[in-house]
Amino acid sequence: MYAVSEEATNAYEGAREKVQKFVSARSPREIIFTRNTTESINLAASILEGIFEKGDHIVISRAEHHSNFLPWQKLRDTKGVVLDIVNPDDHGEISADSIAAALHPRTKLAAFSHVSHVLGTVNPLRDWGEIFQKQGILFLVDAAQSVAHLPVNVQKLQCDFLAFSGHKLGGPMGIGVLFARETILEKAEPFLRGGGMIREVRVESSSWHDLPWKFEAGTPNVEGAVGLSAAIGYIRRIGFDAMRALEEEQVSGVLSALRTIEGVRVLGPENNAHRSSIVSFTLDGVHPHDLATVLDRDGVAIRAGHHCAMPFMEYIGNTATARASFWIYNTPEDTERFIAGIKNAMRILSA
Amino acid sequence: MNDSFYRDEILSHYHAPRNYGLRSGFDIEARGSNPLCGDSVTVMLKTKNGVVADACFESKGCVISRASASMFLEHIKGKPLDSVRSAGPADVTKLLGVAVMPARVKCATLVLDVLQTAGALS
Repeated sequence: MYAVSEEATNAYEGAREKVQKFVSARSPREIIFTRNTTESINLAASILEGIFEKGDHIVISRAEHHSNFLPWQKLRDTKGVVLDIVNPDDHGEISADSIAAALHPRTKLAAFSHVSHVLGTVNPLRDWGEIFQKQGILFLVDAAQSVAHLPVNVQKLQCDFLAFSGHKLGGPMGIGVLFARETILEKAEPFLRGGGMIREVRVESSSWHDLPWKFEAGTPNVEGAVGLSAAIGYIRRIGFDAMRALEEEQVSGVLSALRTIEGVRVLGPENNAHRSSIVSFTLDGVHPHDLATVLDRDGVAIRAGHHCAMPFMEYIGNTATARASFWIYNTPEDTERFIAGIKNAMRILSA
Repeated sequence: MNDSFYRDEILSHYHAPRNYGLRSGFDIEARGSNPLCGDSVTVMLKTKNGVVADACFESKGCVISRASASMFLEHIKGKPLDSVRSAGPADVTKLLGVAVMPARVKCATLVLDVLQTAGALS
């Protein structure tokens, strides 16, 4: 009821419209702010909980992040839903045929990452979305790894849900987004109950606010949303074509350099056109954590570990891999330091 | 070589761990792993009058977990079993002689965690 409050509200709702246009949603009513991708997918699972009956199926891939696995595992345990798991092939790719083969007459939901965070594979979701659409299967896309690297358009992907985190595209930590189709949201019960999400509260019964606020109980992360909006503006100014060209150059340079080092095994697609800007690899005789420590001391930050994909690590017989990721701020000098650091680590650590 | 973190003594214990290889005739055996990084270790102790008379181990994993197991077992040989029971993480990390960053402390203390949580020393 005062000017600065109104200014904050306008900035928050302006950020929502920015996100709506960024992912090509039809209405801001379909954009819910969360804390991160994990919360977004958990929210989606809560929205969907009511539609599942014992014996219904959900199809996912083995390479999903735990956040796109555990909410469905919970539905398996609480509702008796069957999880069908599609395995990537030796090049980290999943064929449309293997997706089709995994479908069951009672498959109600397909949940896949757009870009695999552990393999770097860009999954051909438009083809998959077509399959799911034809069979009336709801489609959830984990866009955490893709949204900063590829155009993401929920109409073209034909998805019903799409989740991502703000920090992956240069925004602040602690802000995330769930896109969900309005028709689904309208029918769903709120996830969290409390302030901001109500129309009227009485002791006997209460009614809920309009979309999307019905799903945003409590004090919103206004500064996070505004920061995310600024990050989207930054990405749009640079453009995906320019980013992709830069990333392709970096990734292909790193891949060629890595392939000359004996003992390096690169995971994921051999065809660079099927790979986003993630290079996940192992090094014979050097534990990824030791590699990360040596590189860190050279000022190179990589991720090392199971990448929150333990079922996939078990499947490939590894407990950990090293993973380098590239974005617009990386320079050719960074990749040189990275490759030199790997050689340094091998010199120090190999017997 | 000369990396100030992966200093020569640590690398020596990694490449040529002391008391490595499981043998028979030991009265305490403990094994465990850190699922986060896949490091695993099996430790065996032989005790005599409450003193660690001998020790051996096998491990899989990173430099820090193997070197610290090698150093720690070498350190406790000849010492009372009670000192193993009461040892804390700092007793292991100080043997490494370097500042272990928080994310790697679990690697260093795996040998101790395994000995203390398996109920092996009770």
